[in-house]
Amino acid sequence: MPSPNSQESINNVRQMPSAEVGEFIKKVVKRVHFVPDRYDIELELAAHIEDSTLLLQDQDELSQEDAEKAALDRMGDAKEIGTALNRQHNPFIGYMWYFSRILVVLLCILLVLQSIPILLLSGWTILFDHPIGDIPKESYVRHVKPNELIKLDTRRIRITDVIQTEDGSLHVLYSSYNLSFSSLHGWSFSGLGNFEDEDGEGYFGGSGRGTAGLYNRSRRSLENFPFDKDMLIVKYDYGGRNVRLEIPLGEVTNND
Amino acid sequence: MTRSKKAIRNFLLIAVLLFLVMKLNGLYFSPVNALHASERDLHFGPSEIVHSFDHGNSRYFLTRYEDMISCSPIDRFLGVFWRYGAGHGTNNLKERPLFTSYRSREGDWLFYGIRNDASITRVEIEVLNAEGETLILSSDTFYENMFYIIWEGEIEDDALFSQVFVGLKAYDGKGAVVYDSDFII
Repeated sequence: MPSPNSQESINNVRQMPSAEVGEFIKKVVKRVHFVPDRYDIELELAAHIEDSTLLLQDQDELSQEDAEKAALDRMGDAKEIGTALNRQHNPFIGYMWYFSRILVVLLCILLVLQSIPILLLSGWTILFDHPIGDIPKESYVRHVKPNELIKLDTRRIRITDVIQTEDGSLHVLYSSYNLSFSSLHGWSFSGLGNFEDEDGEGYFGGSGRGTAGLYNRSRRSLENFPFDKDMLIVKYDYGGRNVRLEIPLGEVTNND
Repeated sequence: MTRSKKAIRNFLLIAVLLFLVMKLNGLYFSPVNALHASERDLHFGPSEIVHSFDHGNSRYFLTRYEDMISCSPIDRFLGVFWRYGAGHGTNNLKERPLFTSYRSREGDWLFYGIRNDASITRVEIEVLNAEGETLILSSDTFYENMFYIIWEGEIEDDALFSQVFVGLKAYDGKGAVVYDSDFII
Protein backbone atom coordinates (compact mmCIF):
# COMPACT_ATOMS: atom_id res chain seq x y z
CA MET A 1 0.00 0.00 0.00
CA PRO A 2 1.60 3.34 -0.97
CA SER A 3 2.52 5.74 1.79
CA PRO A 4 1.20 9.34 1.65
CA ASN A 5 4.58 10.45 0.29
CA SER A 6 4.60 7.90 -2.48
CA GLN A 7 1.00 8.79 -3.25
CA GLU A 8 2.02 12.42 -3.68
CA SER A 9 4.80 11.43 -6.05
CA ILE A 10 2.39 9.27 -8.06
CA ASN A 11 0.06 12.23 -8.34
CA ASN A 12 2.90 14.40 -9.55
CA VAL A 13 4.02 11.97 -12.24
CA ARG A 14 0.60 10.71 -13.36
CA GLN A 15 -1.73 12.80 -15.37
CA MET A 16 -5.16 13.69 -14.06
CA PRO A 17 -7.57 10.95 -15.27
CA SER A 18 -10.12 12.00 -17.84
CA ALA A 19 -13.82 12.32 -16.98
CA GLU A 20 -14.54 8.83 -18.36
CA VAL A 21 -11.76 7.23 -16.38
CA GLY A 22 -12.83 9.17 -13.29
CA GLU A 23 -16.40 7.97 -13.73
CA PHE A 24 -15.22 4.37 -14.15
CA ILE A 25 -13.08 4.53 -11.02
CA LYS A 26 -15.93 6.13 -9.09
CA LYS A 27 -18.25 3.26 -10.07
CA VAL A 28 -15.67 0.72 -8.92
CA VAL A 29 -14.87 2.26 -5.53
CA LYS A 30 -18.52 2.91 -4.78
CA ARG A 31 -18.81 -0.87 -4.27
CA VAL A 32 -15.88 -0.98 -1.86
CA HIS A 33 -17.44 -0.52 1.57
CA PHE A 34 -14.21 -0.15 3.50
CA VAL A 35 -13.88 3.58 2.88
CA PRO A 36 -10.27 4.05 4.14
CA ASP A 37 -9.05 1.81 1.25
CA ARG A 38 -10.93 3.68 -1.47
CA TYR A 39 -8.25 6.29 -2.07
CA ASP A 40 -5.51 3.71 -2.59
CA ILE A 41 -7.76 1.72 -4.92
CA GLU A 42 -8.49 4.87 -6.93
CA LEU A 43 -4.76 5.53 -7.33
CA GLU A 44 -4.03 1.95 -8.33
CA LEU A 45 -6.82 1.84 -10.87
CA ALA A 46 -5.86 5.21 -12.34
CA ALA A 47 -2.24 4.09 -12.66
CA HIS A 48 -3.27 0.79 -14.19
CA ILE A 49 -5.56 2.46 -16.77
CA GLU A 50 -2.90 5.02 -17.60
CA ASP A 51 -0.26 2.31 -18.14
CA SER A 52 -2.68 0.38 -20.28
CA THR A 53 -3.51 3.52 -22.31
CA LEU A 54 0.17 4.28 -22.95
CA LEU A 55 0.79 0.70 -24.04
CA LEU A 56 -2.12 0.77 -26.45
CA GLN A 57 -0.98 4.12 -27.82
CA ASP A 58 2.48 2.65 -28.48
CA GLN A 59 1.43 -0.78 -29.74
CA ASP A 60 -1.67 0.03 -31.77
CA GLU A 61 -0.83 3.63 -32.57
CA LEU A 62 -4.16 4.79 -31.20
CA SER A 63 -4.98 8.32 -30.24
CA GLN A 64 -5.01 9.16 -26.53
CA GLU A 65 -8.79 9.19 -26.50
CA ASP A 66 -9.19 5.87 -28.35
CA ALA A 67 -6.46 4.19 -26.35
CA GLU A 68 -8.15 5.26 -23.10
CA LYS A 69 -11.49 3.96 -24.33
CA ALA A 70 -9.89 0.65 -25.30
CA ALA A 71 -8.13 0.46 -21.93
CA LEU A 72 -11.44 0.96 -20.13
CA ASP A 73 -13.04 -1.74 -22.29
CA ARG A 74 -10.23 -4.13 -21.38
CA MET A 75 -10.79 -3.39 -17.67
CA GLY A 76 -14.26 -4.93 -17.85
CA ASP A 77 -17.40 -4.15 -15.91
CA ALA A 78 -16.88 -1.56 -13.18
CA LYS A 79 -19.55 -3.08 -10.94
CA GLU A 80 -17.99 -6.54 -11.12
CA ILE A 81 -14.55 -5.16 -10.38
CA GLY A 82 -16.00 -3.18 -7.47
CA THR A 83 -17.73 -6.26 -6.06
CA ALA A 84 -14.54 -8.32 -6.34
CA LEU A 85 -12.49 -5.58 -4.71
CA ASN A 86 -15.05 -5.29 -1.91
CA ARG A 87 -14.58 -9.01 -1.21
CA GLN A 88 -10.84 -8.53 -1.19
CA HIS A 89 -11.04 -5.44 1.05
CA ASN A 90 -13.48 -7.03 3.49
CA PRO A 91 -15.16 -4.12 5.31
CA PHE A 92 -15.76 -6.08 8.51
CA ILE A 93 -12.13 -7.12 8.91
CA GLY A 94 -11.03 -3.75 7.58
CA TYR A 95 -12.94 -1.75 10.16
CA MET A 96 -11.94 -4.17 12.94
CA TRP A 97 -8.32 -3.62 12.02
CA TYR A 98 -8.76 0.13 11.53
CA PHE A 99 -10.52 0.89 14.84
CA SER A 100 -8.45 -1.59 16.85
CA ARG A 101 -5.35 0.23 15.61
CA ILE A 102 -6.77 3.57 16.79
CA LEU A 103 -7.69 2.07 20.16
CA VAL A 104 -4.20 0.61 20.64
CA VAL A 105 -2.66 4.02 19.97
CA LEU A 106 -5.06 5.81 22.35
CA LEU A 107 -4.49 3.26 25.13
CA CYS A 108 -0.72 3.54 24.67
CA ILE A 109 -0.90 7.33 24.95
CA LEU A 110 -3.09 7.09 28.06
CA LEU A 111 -0.77 4.57 29.70
CA VAL A 112 2.34 6.59 28.97
CA LEU A 113 0.78 9.81 30.27
CA GLN A 114 -0.39 8.10 33.44
CA SER A 115 2.76 6.10 34.05
CA ILE A 116 5.34 8.83 33.66
CA PRO A 117 4.57 10.72 36.91
CA ILE A 118 4.28 7.46 38.86
CA LEU A 119 7.52 6.08 37.49
CA LEU A 120 9.33 9.37 38.14
CA LEU A 121 8.03 9.48 41.70
CA SER A 122 8.92 5.84 42.32
CA GLY A 123 12.35 6.31 40.75
CA TRP A 124 12.99 9.33 42.96
CA THR A 125 12.01 7.32 46.05
CA ILE A 126 14.17 4.34 45.12
CA LEU A 127 17.22 6.41 44.24
CA PHE A 128 17.19 9.43 46.50
CA ASP A 129 14.51 9.48 49.20
CA HIS A 130 15.33 7.17 52.07
CA PRO A 131 13.93 8.13 55.49
CA ILE A 132 17.07 6.69 57.07
CA GLY A 133 18.64 9.97 56.01
CA ASP A 134 16.41 11.73 58.57
CA ILE A 135 18.43 10.18 61.38
CA PRO A 136 21.95 11.53 61.96
CA LYS A 137 24.40 8.60 62.00
CA GLU A 138 26.38 10.00 64.91
CA SER A 139 23.27 9.73 67.11
CA TYR A 140 22.91 5.93 66.65
CA VAL A 141 23.26 3.88 69.81
CA ARG A 142 22.10 0.62 68.32
CA HIS A 143 21.20 -0.47 64.86
CA VAL A 144 19.88 -3.78 63.60
CA LYS A 145 18.80 -4.87 60.14
CA PRO A 146 16.01 -7.38 60.70
CA ASN A 147 15.14 -7.76 57.01
CA GLU A 148 11.81 -9.26 58.08
CA LEU A 149 9.09 -9.63 55.46
CA ILE A 150 5.45 -9.18 56.40
CA LYS A 151 2.81 -10.37 53.96
CA LEU A 152 -0.50 -8.59 54.38
CA ASP A 153 -2.87 -9.65 51.61
CA THR A 154 -1.12 -8.50 48.45
CA ARG A 155 1.05 -5.99 50.31
CA ARG A 156 4.65 -6.81 51.07
CA ILE A 157 6.32 -4.93 53.90
CA ARG A 158 9.97 -5.37 54.73
CA ILE A 159 11.36 -4.04 57.98
CA THR A 160 14.80 -3.02 56.88
CA ASP A 161 16.32 -1.16 59.83
CA VAL A 162 15.61 -0.54 63.49
CA ILE A 163 17.73 2.23 64.93
CA GLN A 164 17.81 3.64 68.41
CA THR A 165 19.25 7.10 68.82
CA GLU A 166 20.79 8.72 71.89
CA ASP A 167 17.59 10.65 72.69
CA GLY A 168 15.84 7.31 73.29
CA SER A 169 13.83 7.32 70.07
CA LEU A 170 13.48 4.02 68.30
CA HIS A 171 13.16 4.37 64.55
CA VAL A 172 11.59 1.55 62.58
CA LEU A 173 12.32 1.78 58.86
CA TYR A 174 10.42 -0.28 56.37
CA SER A 175 9.69 -0.49 52.70
CA SER A 176 6.44 -1.63 51.15
CA TYR A 177 4.81 -2.28 47.85
CA ASN A 178 1.52 -3.77 46.81
CA LEU A 179 1.28 -6.52 44.23
CA SER A 180 -2.17 -5.18 43.33
CA PHE A 181 -0.61 -1.81 42.42
CA SER A 182 -3.23 -0.10 44.58
CA SER A 183 -0.78 2.66 45.50
CA LEU A 184 -1.30 3.94 41.96
CA HIS A 185 -4.91 4.78 42.54
CA GLY A 186 -5.85 3.98 46.08
CA TRP A 187 -4.37 4.14 49.48
CA SER A 188 -0.85 3.58 50.64
CA PHE A 189 0.10 1.75 53.79
CA SER A 190 0.44 4.25 56.62
CA GLY A 191 0.79 2.19 59.76
CA LEU A 192 2.67 -0.87 60.79
CA GLY A 193 0.43 -1.83 63.69
CA ASN A 194 1.23 -1.55 67.39
CA PHE A 195 4.64 -1.62 68.98
CA GLU A 196 5.52 -3.25 72.28
CA ASP A 197 8.61 -4.28 74.15
CA GLU A 198 9.22 -7.77 75.53
CA ASP A 199 7.29 -6.89 78.70
CA GLY A 200 4.16 -5.91 76.82
CA GLU A 201 4.62 -2.16 77.27
CA GLY A 202 3.08 -0.29 74.33
CA TYR A 203 4.66 2.66 72.52
CA PHE A 204 2.30 5.03 70.81
CA GLY A 205 3.91 8.47 70.81
CA GLY A 206 6.22 9.54 68.04
CA SER A 207 6.35 10.59 64.47
CA GLY A 208 6.81 9.14 61.05
CA ARG A 209 6.83 9.73 57.37
CA GLY A 210 6.51 7.77 54.19
CA THR A 211 7.29 8.25 50.55
CA ALA A 212 4.87 7.94 47.67
CA GLY A 213 4.89 5.87 44.49
CA LEU A 214 4.86 2.21 43.61
CA TYR A 215 7.56 1.46 46.14
CA ASN A 216 7.31 3.24 49.47
CA ARG A 217 9.87 3.74 52.17
CA SER A 218 8.63 4.74 55.59
CA ARG A 219 9.90 5.60 59.02
CA ARG A 220 8.03 5.23 62.26
CA SER A 221 9.76 6.77 65.25
CA LEU A 222 8.78 5.76 68.77
CA GLU A 223 9.58 8.16 71.60
CA ASN A 224 11.33 7.18 74.81
CA PHE A 225 11.99 3.54 74.14
CA PRO A 226 14.04 2.27 77.11
CA PHE A 227 17.66 1.40 76.40
CA ASP A 228 17.43 -1.69 78.60
CA LYS A 229 14.77 -3.39 76.48
CA ASP A 230 16.05 -6.10 74.18
CA MET A 231 13.11 -6.73 71.94
CA LEU A 232 10.69 -4.80 69.78
CA ILE A 233 7.42 -6.56 69.06
CA VAL A 234 5.38 -5.46 66.09
CA LYS A 235 1.72 -6.43 66.30
CA TYR A 236 -0.84 -6.01 63.57
CA ASP A 237 -4.34 -7.13 64.42
CA TYR A 238 -7.11 -5.75 62.26
CA GLY A 239 -9.76 -7.14 60.00
CA GLY A 240 -8.84 -10.74 60.69
CA ARG A 241 -5.18 -10.16 59.83
CA ASN A 242 -2.75 -11.01 62.59
CA VAL A 243 0.96 -10.43 62.45
CA ARG A 244 3.39 -10.67 65.32
CA LEU A 245 7.03 -10.02 64.76
CA GLU A 246 9.79 -10.10 67.36
CA ILE A 247 12.84 -8.06 66.55
CA PRO A 248 15.92 -8.42 68.76
CA LEU A 249 17.42 -4.97 69.22
CA GLY A 250 21.00 -5.88 70.04
CA GLU A 251 23.46 -4.19 72.35
CA VAL A 252 23.43 -0.50 73.14
CA THR A 253 26.73 1.12 72.25
CA ASN A 254 28.01 4.70 72.36
CA ASN A 255 25.37 5.64 74.91
CA ASP A 256 27.04 8.18 77.12
CA MET B 1 0.71 -10.09 7.81
CA THR B 2 -2.90 -10.13 6.66
CA ARG B 3 -5.36 -7.59 7.93
CA SER B 4 -7.26 -10.19 9.95
CA LYS B 5 -4.04 -11.26 11.68
CA LYS B 6 -3.24 -7.63 12.37
CA ALA B 7 -6.71 -7.17 13.86
CA ILE B 8 -6.23 -10.22 16.10
CA ARG B 9 -2.82 -8.89 17.19
CA ASN B 10 -4.42 -5.50 17.93
CA PHE B 11 -7.18 -7.08 20.01
CA LEU B 12 -4.63 -8.98 22.06
CA LEU B 13 -2.72 -5.73 22.58
CA ILE B 14 -5.96 -3.97 23.55
CA ALA B 15 -6.68 -6.66 26.16
CA VAL B 16 -3.23 -6.21 27.73
CA LEU B 17 -3.34 -2.40 27.57
CA LEU B 18 -6.87 -2.28 28.92
CA PHE B 19 -5.86 -4.50 31.82
CA LEU B 20 -3.00 -2.11 32.61
CA VAL B 21 -5.21 0.98 32.31
CA MET B 22 -7.79 -0.64 34.58
CA LYS B 23 -5.08 -1.55 37.10
CA LEU B 24 -3.64 1.95 37.00
CA ASN B 25 -7.02 3.52 37.60
CA GLY B 26 -8.61 0.98 39.92
CA LEU B 27 -11.33 0.04 37.48
CA TYR B 28 -13.31 -3.19 37.47
CA PHE B 29 -16.05 -4.61 35.31
CA SER B 30 -17.95 -5.77 38.39
CA PRO B 31 -18.88 -3.54 41.37
CA VAL B 32 -18.49 -6.50 43.72
CA ASN B 33 -14.93 -7.06 42.49
CA ALA B 34 -14.21 -3.35 42.98
CA LEU B 35 -15.60 -3.51 46.51
CA HIS B 36 -13.61 -6.57 47.49
CA ALA B 37 -10.41 -5.31 45.85
CA SER B 38 -10.58 -2.06 47.79
CA GLU B 39 -11.34 -3.91 51.01
CA ARG B 40 -8.37 -6.20 50.40
CA ASP B 41 -6.09 -3.20 49.99
CA LEU B 42 -7.35 -1.91 53.32
CA HIS B 43 -6.60 -5.36 54.77
CA PHE B 44 -10.23 -5.85 55.59
CA GLY B 45 -12.81 -8.37 54.44
CA PRO B 46 -13.90 -9.70 52.05
CA SER B 47 -17.11 -8.68 53.70
CA GLU B 48 -20.45 -10.40 53.32
CA ILE B 49 -22.76 -8.35 51.13
CA VAL B 50 -26.11 -8.11 52.85
CA HIS B 51 -27.79 -5.81 50.38
CA SER B 52 -26.88 -3.45 47.56
CA PHE B 53 -28.70 -0.51 46.07
CA ASP B 54 -28.06 2.12 43.44
CA HIS B 55 -28.12 5.81 44.18
CA GLY B 56 -26.91 8.45 41.75
CA ASN B 57 -23.86 7.16 39.96
CA SER B 58 -22.93 4.73 42.71
CA ARG B 59 -23.82 1.32 44.00
CA TYR B 60 -23.88 1.08 47.76
CA PHE B 61 -23.15 -2.17 49.57
CA LEU B 62 -24.45 -2.90 53.04
CA THR B 63 -21.87 -5.34 54.32
CA ARG B 64 -20.78 -7.20 57.41
CA TYR B 65 -17.39 -8.49 58.31
CA GLU B 66 -16.63 -10.04 61.68
CA ASP B 67 -18.17 -7.53 64.14
CA MET B 68 -17.96 -4.67 61.69
CA ILE B 69 -20.54 -3.17 59.41
CA SER B 70 -20.13 -0.84 56.48
CA CYS B 71 -22.04 0.76 53.68
CA SER B 72 -19.53 1.48 50.96
CA PRO B 73 -20.22 3.22 47.68
CA ILE B 74 -18.62 2.00 44.47
CA ASP B 75 -18.82 4.51 41.65
CA ARG B 76 -19.73 3.75 38.07
CA PHE B 77 -17.21 5.03 35.53
CA LEU B 78 -17.65 5.47 31.79
CA GLY B 79 -20.74 3.30 31.80
CA VAL B 80 -18.98 -0.07 31.90
CA PHE B 81 -16.45 0.23 34.71
CA TRP B 82 -16.71 0.40 38.47
CA ARG B 83 -14.13 2.36 40.36
CA TYR B 84 -12.26 1.09 43.38
CA GLY B 85 -12.77 2.98 46.62
CA ALA B 86 -14.70 1.41 49.48
CA GLY B 87 -14.14 2.30 53.10
CA HIS B 88 -13.39 0.58 56.37
CA GLY B 89 -15.94 -1.09 58.51
CA THR B 90 -17.15 0.24 61.85
CA ASN B 91 -17.35 -1.97 64.92
CA ASN B 92 -20.91 -2.82 65.83
CA LEU B 93 -21.41 -1.98 69.50
CA LYS B 94 -23.71 -4.83 70.39
CA GLU B 95 -24.69 -3.44 73.77
CA ARG B 96 -26.73 -0.78 71.94
CA PRO B 97 -30.17 -1.79 70.66
CA LEU B 98 -29.33 0.03 67.45
CA PHE B 99 -25.88 0.76 66.15
CA THR B 100 -25.57 3.39 63.44
CA SER B 101 -23.02 5.17 61.34
CA TYR B 102 -23.13 7.68 58.51
CA ARG B 103 -21.24 9.04 55.56
CA SER B 104 -21.69 11.94 53.21
CA ARG B 105 -20.53 12.40 49.66
CA GLU B 106 -21.34 14.81 46.89
CA GLY B 107 -24.32 16.29 48.66
CA ASP B 108 -25.82 12.96 49.68
CA TRP B 109 -26.17 11.85 53.24
CA LEU B 110 -26.22 8.19 54.08
CA PHE B 111 -27.32 6.91 57.43
CA TYR B 112 -27.04 3.20 58.05
CA GLY B 113 -26.75 0.70 60.81
CA ILE B 114 -27.75 -2.57 62.37
CA ARG B 115 -30.40 -3.49 64.90
CA ASN B 116 -29.06 -5.50 67.79
CA ASP B 117 -32.52 -5.66 69.32
CA ALA B 118 -34.73 -7.78 67.10
CA SER B 119 -37.90 -6.05 68.37
CA ILE B 120 -36.98 -2.89 66.42
CA THR B 121 -39.16 -2.60 63.34
CA ARG B 122 -38.68 1.03 62.37
CA VAL B 123 -35.85 3.54 62.54
CA GLU B 124 -36.51 7.24 62.39
CA ILE B 125 -33.96 10.00 62.01
CA GLU B 126 -34.53 13.72 62.38
CA VAL B 127 -32.34 16.02 60.32
CA LEU B 128 -32.28 19.70 59.46
CA ASN B 129 -32.69 21.03 55.97
CA ALA B 130 -31.21 24.26 54.59
CA GLU B 131 -34.04 26.35 56.06
CA GLY B 132 -33.41 24.93 59.48
CA GLU B 133 -36.60 22.90 59.39
CA THR B 134 -36.65 19.41 60.81
CA LEU B 135 -37.20 16.55 58.41
CA ILE B 136 -38.16 13.12 59.62
CA LEU B 137 -36.83 10.24 57.55
CA SER B 138 -37.51 6.64 58.37
CA SER B 139 -36.93 3.08 57.29
CA ASP B 140 -38.83 -0.04 58.20
CA THR B 141 -36.91 -2.30 55.84
CA PHE B 142 -34.18 -4.43 57.31
CA TYR B 143 -31.74 -6.63 55.44
CA GLU B 144 -30.43 -9.21 57.87
CA ASN B 145 -30.92 -6.56 60.55
CA MET B 146 -29.14 -3.85 58.58
CA PHE B 147 -30.89 -0.78 57.25
CA TYR B 148 -30.10 2.46 55.48
CA ILE B 149 -31.62 5.85 54.88
CA ILE B 150 -30.22 8.00 52.10
CA TRP B 151 -31.22 11.51 51.16
CA GLU B 152 -29.90 14.44 49.22
CA GLY B 153 -28.45 17.00 51.57
CA GLU B 154 -29.83 20.46 51.46
CA ILE B 155 -27.02 21.89 53.49
CA GLU B 156 -23.75 22.85 51.84
CA ASP B 157 -21.33 20.07 50.95
CA ASP B 158 -18.85 20.77 53.73
CA ALA B 159 -21.48 20.61 56.48
CA LEU B 160 -20.77 18.24 59.34
CA PHE B 161 -23.28 15.55 60.12
CA SER B 162 -23.54 16.96 63.64
CA GLN B 163 -24.93 20.17 62.07
CA VAL B 164 -27.60 18.20 60.24
CA PHE B 165 -28.45 15.53 62.76
CA VAL B 166 -31.14 16.18 65.36
CA GLY B 167 -32.09 12.82 66.77
CA LEU B 168 -32.60 9.14 66.25
CA LYS B 169 -35.41 6.89 67.43
CA ALA B 170 -36.10 3.22 66.97
CA TYR B 171 -39.55 1.76 67.47
CA ASP B 172 -40.89 -1.73 68.04
CA GLY B 173 -43.87 -3.25 66.26
CA LYS B 174 -46.32 -1.62 68.68
CA GLY B 175 -44.85 1.83 68.10
CA ALA B 176 -43.06 2.04 71.41
CA VAL B 177 -39.68 3.75 71.44
CA VAL B 178 -36.96 1.16 71.94
CA TYR B 179 -33.99 3.44 71.40
CA ASP B 180 -33.70 7.20 71.50
CA SER B 181 -30.40 8.97 70.94
CA ASP B 182 -29.15 12.48 70.36
CA PHE B 183 -25.80 11.09 69.32
CA ILE B 184 -24.87 9.80 65.93
CA ILE B 185 -22.61 6.90 66.79
